[in-house]
Amino acid sequence: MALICSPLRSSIQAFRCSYASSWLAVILFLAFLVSITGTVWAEAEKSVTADKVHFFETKVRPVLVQHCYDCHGADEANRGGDFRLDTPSSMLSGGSQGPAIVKGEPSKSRLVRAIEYDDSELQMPPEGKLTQEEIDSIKQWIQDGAEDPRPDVPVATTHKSSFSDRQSQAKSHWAYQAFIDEPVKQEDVGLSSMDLSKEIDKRVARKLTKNNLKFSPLANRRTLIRRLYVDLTGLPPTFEQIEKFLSDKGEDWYERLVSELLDSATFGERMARRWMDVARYADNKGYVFKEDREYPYAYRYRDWLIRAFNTDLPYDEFLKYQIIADQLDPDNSKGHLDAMGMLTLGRRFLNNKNDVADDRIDVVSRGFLGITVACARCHDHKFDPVSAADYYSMRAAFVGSEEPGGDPSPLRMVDKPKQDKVFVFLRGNQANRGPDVERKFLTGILGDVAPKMSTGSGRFEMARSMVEDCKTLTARVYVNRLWTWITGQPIVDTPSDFGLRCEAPVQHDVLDLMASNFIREGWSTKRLIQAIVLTRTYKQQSSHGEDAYAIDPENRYYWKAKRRRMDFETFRDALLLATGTIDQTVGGPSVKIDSAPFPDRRTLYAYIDRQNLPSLFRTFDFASPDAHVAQRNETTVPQQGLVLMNSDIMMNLLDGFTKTETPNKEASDAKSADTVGDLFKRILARAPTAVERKAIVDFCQNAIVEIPMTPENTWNYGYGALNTELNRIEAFQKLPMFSGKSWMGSDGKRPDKDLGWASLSAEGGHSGAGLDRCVIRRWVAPRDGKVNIRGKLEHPSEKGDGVRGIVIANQDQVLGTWEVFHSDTQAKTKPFSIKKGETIDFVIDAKENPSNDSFKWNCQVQYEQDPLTYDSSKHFMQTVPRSLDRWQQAAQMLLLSNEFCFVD
Amino acid sequence: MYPMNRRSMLSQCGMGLGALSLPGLLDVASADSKPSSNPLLPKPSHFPAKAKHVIHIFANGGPSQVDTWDPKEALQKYAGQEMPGGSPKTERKTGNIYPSPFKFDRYGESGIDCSELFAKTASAHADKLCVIRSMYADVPNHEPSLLLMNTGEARLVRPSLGSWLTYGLGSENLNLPSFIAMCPGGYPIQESQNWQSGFLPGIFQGTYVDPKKSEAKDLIDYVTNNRMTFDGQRKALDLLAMLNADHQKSRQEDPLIEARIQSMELAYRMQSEATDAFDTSKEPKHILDMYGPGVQAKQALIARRLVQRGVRMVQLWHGEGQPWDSHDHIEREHRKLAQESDQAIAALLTDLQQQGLLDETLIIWGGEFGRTPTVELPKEGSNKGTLSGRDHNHYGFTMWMAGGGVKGGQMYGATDEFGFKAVEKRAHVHDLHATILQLMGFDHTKLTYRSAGRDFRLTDVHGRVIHDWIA
Repeated sequence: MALICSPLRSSIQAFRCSYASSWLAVILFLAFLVSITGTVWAEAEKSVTADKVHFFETKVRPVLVQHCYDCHGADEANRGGDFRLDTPSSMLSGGSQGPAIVKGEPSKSRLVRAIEYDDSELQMPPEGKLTQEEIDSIKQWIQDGAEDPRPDVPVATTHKSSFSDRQSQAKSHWAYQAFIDEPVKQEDVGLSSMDLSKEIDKRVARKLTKNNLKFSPLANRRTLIRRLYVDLTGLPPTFEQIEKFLSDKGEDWYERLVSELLDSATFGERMARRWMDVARYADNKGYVFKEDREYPYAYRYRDWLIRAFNTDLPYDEFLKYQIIADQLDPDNSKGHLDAMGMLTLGRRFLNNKNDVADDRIDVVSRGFLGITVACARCHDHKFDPVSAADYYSMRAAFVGSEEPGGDPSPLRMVDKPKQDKVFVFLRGNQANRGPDVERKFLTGILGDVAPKMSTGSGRFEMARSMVEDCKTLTARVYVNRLWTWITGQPIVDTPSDFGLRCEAPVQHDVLDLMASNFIREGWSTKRLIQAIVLTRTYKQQSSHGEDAYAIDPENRYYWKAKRRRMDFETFRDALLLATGTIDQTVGGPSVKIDSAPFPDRRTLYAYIDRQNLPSLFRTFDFASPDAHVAQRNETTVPQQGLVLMNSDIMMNLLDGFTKTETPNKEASDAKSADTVGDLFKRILARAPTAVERKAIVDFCQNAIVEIPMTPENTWNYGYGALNTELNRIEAFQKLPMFSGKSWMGSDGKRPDKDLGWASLSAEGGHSGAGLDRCVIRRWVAPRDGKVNIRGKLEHPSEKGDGVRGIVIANQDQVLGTWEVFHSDTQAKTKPFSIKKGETIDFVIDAKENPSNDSFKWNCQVQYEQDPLTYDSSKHFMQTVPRSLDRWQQAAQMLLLSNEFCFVD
Repeated sequence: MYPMNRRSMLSQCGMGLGALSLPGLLDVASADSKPSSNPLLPKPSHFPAKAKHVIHIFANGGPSQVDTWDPKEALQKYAGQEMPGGSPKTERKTGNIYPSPFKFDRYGESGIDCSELFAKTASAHADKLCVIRSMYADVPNHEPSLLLMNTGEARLVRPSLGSWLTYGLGSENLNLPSFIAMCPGGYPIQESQNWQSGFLPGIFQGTYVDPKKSEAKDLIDYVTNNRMTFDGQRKALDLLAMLNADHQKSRQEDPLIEARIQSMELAYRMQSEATDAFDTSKEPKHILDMYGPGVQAKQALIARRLVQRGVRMVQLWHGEGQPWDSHDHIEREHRKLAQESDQAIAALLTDLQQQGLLDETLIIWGGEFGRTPTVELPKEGSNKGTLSGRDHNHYGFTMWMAGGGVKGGQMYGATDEFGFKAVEKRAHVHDLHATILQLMGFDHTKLTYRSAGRDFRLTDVHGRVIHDWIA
């Protein structure tokens, strides 16, 4: 931790000075003065008195050391400018606005002005004002002649993190070196997947032995089948799929299963979604004020990714198409132009071109190379060999490109016909031009071989260099991603930062072996994944014993497999699979998955709203689409449980379980047992144990199947007879069909043969024909209390004779009557005391003439002292109020279970 | 109100107590190290905090300082005349000096200046307020200024203050979201980016609530169930617990498994607690009367109920869009806006004090910037063509703080003679952030998160703690 923290602190202090322009002006000014007056005071130290020295050493120097030296000391790397406070001569500097220190005159000393904090433009130290005692001491010291016993010889500067030094560090940084471990050469042909997997295991085993560890036992066959399905396709296996391979007698069942999954279309979908995290995919631009924010064709990039992975497009080409498809496939004849969505689908930052370019630099440099080039926007990178000039060369590649839109691909980018001269912007400020830049790619890392970026915008050389000059790094970064995606454990913990602060990983040899073979094998993603899943390392079980845990709790040496929780996409897909509704169409436009009609498409086809990402996604640790994501977070929060317990998404899925038998006391045990068996097969892809079978049956017999009294569920839609003599409702029946926007007769269209035009919608409806067919909106009281009834009744038509609205409590107590004809009225009653379960009916009587009787009636019921209004429009339901049945409840719990969610 | 004590919660989530006492736990967590359990568990701050909660009353659109907390006699004196030296450049063209139409008075023993607009707040609480008259920001446009005020960065994607606080401190109540942003009627400009979590885990993002709505399901996503009763769910969850216990038997070592078991129980409890927290009808009449009518009152009262339940940060936006953006008819508009909120703000402070919560709750009031002392010139398409409003002004504006750890009864800093530019003891938005973090127990330079190769912080490379604001 100290390693991470300490450079941070100093770096921030260094940043601070280079950023804040007002301080910089002061610093530069003072530095200028140092140069002209520095030596005048060199003799002063000889005449210091003991007392004054003591005062300086006890009262002044400690303050300077503590508060000033970090930025104004010997360490050049951390120093904001050239101004120093660690030697007498540099302390005693002045200028046109008055000296920094004037001996004997604190009030004329610029240093005093800075520390007194009265001048808003000059306040030091920046982290906060010194104490009054400290300030007084410094003033006293100046007053007394500013005696300074320190040697005036500048302490040798360390230079340790200047750009040139970082450049030389880069020459030995592991990630920028040749591979340390390569397969034995066979005329430059790579190892087969099987041979590679054995070589990987050899290296893992060697380290295990050295650390008194050994491989965990192999996972059982069922576990392996499930693990493979999830890792390679993002879908758990069905019961039948598991059974097929459980009963497979062939010795090579595992190898055949691997091949089958790698060849399935679902493989490309799984990998595409993984890459979409890298590419910060979204279907819109983020906030762009009133401009249209949609990327209607973003999905074409996703579909290209699926094709690329399914056809095992070599990774070097995969990379190049995403950056320069405009030059490799300009008329889209090979169908690769959509690959440029990688660049063009980022956030648009109110169309600020500098920020758009920065986002592209970031996604390309971290995504492909594991280099944080975007850190060099304001100054040379503080930790890595990336100069501001490197940044601005890359920037030129993007600001020198434009997006013509339209055919042959709306996602493409092309070089602008004319390229501007390239400058560094000092401190990232466009208005503050620094030196010209000769456009070259990553000079800090590539040194002498850094290619010029002279073709058009320079994107061409950039992409080419990434798979040629940088190929060892490019391969390492991607191979580490693949390993992480498949095993759940990265080799390099910072998958998008292989910079100087990233130490060589424990499994360095494994990484290099795979990366070198990957290149030799023609950059084949599928063959590398095949090798990984064939390893003994991959096939271990995930549970562990205490001994190994004590030696290596983080499992750096791979003595077990890592248990995974399904990610958001896999989990939702698994739900769809369990209900049997999953739509496995490959490719196509994005769909909104968090609202009705709740499409059954796989989750990678979800519409991603970058600006207002729905809570559903955030809750389940979805990768933020704002910027490239190196690795998802993995949190466990109750909001996840809420979605699974309550969401309409979940309720909609559970409707897939209604066809099963409902058990009751009379149902035979055998029948119930069958149903339990069926549930387990569908959800957990296995048969239940006897104990589980009994637990589910017991649960189902005792489950509470009740409709909760939510506002929606208080409303019912029906019709009945109005007995005008007794003023009562007789024979209330529910309207049987919902069609379009309304509840109506069983024909589902109007006029219905029985009920004619009778209907009820969110806003109102149409009367039925005659007193025995009045439409009735019935509210059922969820609790005891006094209610107020309000609403506006309206009959818009000029024709016919209008309608009469009647509010009747408990079927026989008329609370109010209103007639409207081409008019409206407030339908309000006196407060009424009601008991739970009692009813309020909002009845429409057609009067003499039932035609032209469309009406509007927003009916509202509100308990006294309760802010909630039961509102017939707002709480309109398109489905009959209902509860989850017993089996649905049981099914839901199986879907919520840890067994369903975790992959051993 | 706490679901369980800290020790039991930690052990239930499979973390030893040691995990919390790790030095530097807060400043080195990184995107790549994958926190493995509930990131909302309470965590210690760097040093003892003065405040535990924040309520940020966001007068979005930009309230005018010279019409509220920063009276300038020169505006009356030179009314209608040109600004000496011309007006500094703001978003739109402004003309001559435009006097404030509002009456000012001095309030409290400390004599805090305030116009009639916030007379109720000032007369009841002047001596608690630290009125900062020397705030300044970077540009005179809403979007970047909103992002600056909320995230410390005007354009790029960064976590908001509330996200940083919940990341740093966790939550005191796992049954409620730890950071809630309320805005009546819809989003402010720049939408949910104002409470974004940026590169921090998504769970730290502010949860948006529209206080105009009254039903639980409209307030917190997925908190109600249309098809199962509470009791029914309890029985079902007992079945789940049994299934999970079986599954766990051979996998005891895995904290993620245990954490997920706990999270289902927490979710069950959250349903009632979250609903209850937003139900202001449970308040006695005298409290409801004190806050007064309207949605500002309602959301202020909800804020108190949330803070009382341990929610870390609550933002109260005035309304959809940018209501305080009075380019025209500032007299009418500002009067209306203040009337909607003054009583509620005064009541909130009183209520917090009566409940013993004021000492631990930091209240912040202000907009993303202020307004010009000069009148905005009529321009077709940009304002209503009158000479009756003021343009945006980032050079100088007023905010105030009160409550937890704030040195009240003071007017800090000053703008120039006309109230245009902050000139004395200038305080940048970064300084405000640094000081807020300080009050919450953090060294703003050390509350960091590693992302994209860098350790980021709310104040980036800026910010200084203004100790004069701290009691």
